[in-house]
Amino acid sequence: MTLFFTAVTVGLGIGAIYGLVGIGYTVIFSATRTFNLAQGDLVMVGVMLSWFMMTLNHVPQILTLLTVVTFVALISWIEERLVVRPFLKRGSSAFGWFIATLGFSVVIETVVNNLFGNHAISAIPSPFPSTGFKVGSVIVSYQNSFVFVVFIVVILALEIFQRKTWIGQAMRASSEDREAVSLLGINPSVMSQSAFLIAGAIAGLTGWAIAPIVFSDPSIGLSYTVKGFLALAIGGFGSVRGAVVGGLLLGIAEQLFDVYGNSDYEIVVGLVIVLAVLILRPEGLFRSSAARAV
Amino acid sequence: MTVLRRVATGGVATFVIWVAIAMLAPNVLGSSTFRLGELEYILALLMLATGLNIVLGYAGQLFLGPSAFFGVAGYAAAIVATHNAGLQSLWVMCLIGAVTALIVAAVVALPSLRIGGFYLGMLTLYLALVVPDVVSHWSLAGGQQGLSLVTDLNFVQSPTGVPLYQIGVLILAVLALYSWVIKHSRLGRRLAAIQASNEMAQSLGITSYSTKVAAFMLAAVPCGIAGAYYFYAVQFMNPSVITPNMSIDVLAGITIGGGGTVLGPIIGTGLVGSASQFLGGFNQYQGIVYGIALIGVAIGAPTGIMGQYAKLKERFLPARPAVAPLAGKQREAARGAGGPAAANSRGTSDGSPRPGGDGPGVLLRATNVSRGFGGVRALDGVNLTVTPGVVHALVGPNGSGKTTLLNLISGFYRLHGGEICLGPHRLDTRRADQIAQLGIARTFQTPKLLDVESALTNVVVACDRHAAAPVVSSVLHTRGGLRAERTGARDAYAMLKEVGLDEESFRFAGLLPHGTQRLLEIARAMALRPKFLLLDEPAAGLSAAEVQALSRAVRSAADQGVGVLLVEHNLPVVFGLADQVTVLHQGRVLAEGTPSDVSANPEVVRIYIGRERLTADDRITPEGASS
Repeated sequence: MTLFFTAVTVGLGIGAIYGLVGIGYTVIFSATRTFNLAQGDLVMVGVMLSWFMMTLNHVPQILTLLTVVTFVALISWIEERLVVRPFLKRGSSAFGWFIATLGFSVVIETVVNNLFGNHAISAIPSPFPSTGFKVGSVIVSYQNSFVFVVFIVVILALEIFQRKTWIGQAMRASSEDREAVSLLGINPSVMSQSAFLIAGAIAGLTGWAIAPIVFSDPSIGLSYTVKGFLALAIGGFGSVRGAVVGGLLLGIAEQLFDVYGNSDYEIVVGLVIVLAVLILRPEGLFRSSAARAV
Repeated sequence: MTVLRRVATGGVATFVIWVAIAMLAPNVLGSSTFRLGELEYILALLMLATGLNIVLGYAGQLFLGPSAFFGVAGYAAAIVATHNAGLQSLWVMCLIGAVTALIVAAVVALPSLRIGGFYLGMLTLYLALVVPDVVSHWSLAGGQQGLSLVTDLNFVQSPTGVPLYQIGVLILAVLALYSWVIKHSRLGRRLAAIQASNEMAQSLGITSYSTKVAAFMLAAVPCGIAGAYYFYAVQFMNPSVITPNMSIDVLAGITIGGGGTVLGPIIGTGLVGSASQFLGGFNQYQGIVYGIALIGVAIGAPTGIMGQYAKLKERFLPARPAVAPLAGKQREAARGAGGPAAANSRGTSDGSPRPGGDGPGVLLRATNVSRGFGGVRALDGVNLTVTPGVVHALVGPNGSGKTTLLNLISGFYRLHGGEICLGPHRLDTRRADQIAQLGIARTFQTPKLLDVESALTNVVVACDRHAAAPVVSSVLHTRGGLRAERTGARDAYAMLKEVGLDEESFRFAGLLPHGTQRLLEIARAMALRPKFLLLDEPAAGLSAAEVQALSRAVRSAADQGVGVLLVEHNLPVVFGLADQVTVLHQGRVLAEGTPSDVSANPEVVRIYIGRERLTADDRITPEGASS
């Protein structure tokens, strides 16, 4: 049983990462009905920038955190202005934005590779001891738990933002009824820019938080992009709840498969679950009103 | 060899010249083993692009993981060949590759196409990550080292060297032909319809799920052959060959070259592949260039190089009218339909009956229909019966539920209460494409057309519903298939003639004036040989002359026994044309009867604010209308 619970606790940490990427998608999707395929690469930029600042330049954690969050949010905002906005203005239902944001992610990855690709993959300092604490017989790593805490904080912060602020309420409403919101005179461009800024900030925060776990590997972006999407597909599209549940389920399932199956083929787990969900319950485990718009 | 004859009438000379140039490439670029390997890799990419284009370019579905199919097929060929010396021929490997790719395509496509859209995009992208990861851990596939035939002493590569490269060129040529044949078939037109608008495709009775699955399977074959050819030629397969970057390269190639054309993906991927093979220092930065190209093309020029080429041609060769591509053969076929006999027979040159076979007197009946949107009841217990041969107008102020009712009948909205029947068939339990197949045709408020196809092709898509030959024969261009194509073109032309658009047959539908587009939509709807025709505000924005042409077309449809349900704001048009009028108000039927009954109804007059009563000035009697 120790093995089982260890897998579950590690899975919660990994699942939190997928969930965070999925939340990033959800924020943008509910405001713009598009998807940012660079979301995973933005997380990667957060990781690499943390590595650059802390490992290479010994910048303190807090300063790194602030810089990373600001910087990644800015890239995300630039993406909105340059890459996504033309599609929103055109109001086309086609998937041009899909190709365009994928193109943006390729650009980001290539730039980072050119800057840092020659460095050996190395560790990034953690604010926590590398050991863990014991719960019963299960040893839980500090950094892993910290990622989970970040996950919870982001969920709560987003919830408060969506309830208490005007723009947050607009976004929340927009995920349910887009036309009604545009009739209320809310500027869709402001909403779209805010969504990209927020999703970028979440990506930066995620990158900083997971940096000590994943090391300085600039090739992880696409994997997170896709896993975050799988979380949504499993949990249900368009709601934060779907992203949270789907991400955690995927993370735990992968870890359990590593323990009881064969860790070499971990990557197949997500594919099998998603195909099963598509066959049995195509709208995801939690249906949401936005799902039908797909 | 009807295929060859068909090609011979087209650009066969150009085709042969290009193949010959490609064959001679080693004479110019060198024929060292290393150089041939580079060329063969580019060939494999081109084959891959040709396959991907069928899904991405023709059907507009986001298929982003061609490298996964390439990898699975290449590895399947490699595993079989390295373990079995008897199965080391190029053709056996290609067969294994194609079959494996087909199996994987089925496993992925069948579930993910149920939702489609970016689900398909993401899942196929994920597949591009999964395949290299899995084979790198799989001992049978050689793990990180991969598989190689180089050290296999039993293996004799034959053909080898330059002939092997040239065979690759021929395979590519055959695949290009395969792609061309699909594009210019009934299936290709269906894919184009799905790409243009899913609703439009459904309204033409096209079942989008099975059509997309077919496209996916057809696309898998070239992807599989590409992987197998690559392995045979280079004798080496390893996880680093089939990274997602390969998919990105091919995707960039297709987007840059112009998806949807046969040649565009080959040109674009040729550029991308050559750059990565021959510009050494560029490799490091190619992601930036391709990324920007993907963004730029997606934003600015969705049709890529081929689209820009067509635009330039149009600008600098204005002498040639904007004739849709490959209209030549259709033109030939259509000429045969010029006679008055064909036009009089409504273009149903084979005279087959309307679909369904329920006899002539079937009614379209909506009983106690309700539908809400959120808290608003758009329709509340509406009853409506449309009779064959009758023009039935549905009028009412904005928001009275007219279009909602039309969308319910044609299956685009789900009913909340009541039922809609066509004779004995319940319609409200069926999908839109099934309803269209039962004989309910419709038009849209904003015309939905294949903009970059000729007006004729737009109608041919609808005529395809009644083609005498199966889809397969259309794709294979067999004799029967070609005969059906000719019949389709002839019927379509007759249909266009009937609404007075025969002169516009070969113009791009997207370039026609708005009113003409509406007539074209009606011609297309009538080409389905419907029992009932639903028109959604057909007169909106039309000039007086266009309204007259429209009225003639509607009247002629009714005279042929079609029941027409006309949603219309323009009261003079309604009163000049309709036999029967139903007035909706706030989701309920306010009045029903002949135009004179209804226009005398004080309730009806009252809801049209500002009008005391309708006068004779409101009427126009369309010229040539037989009522």
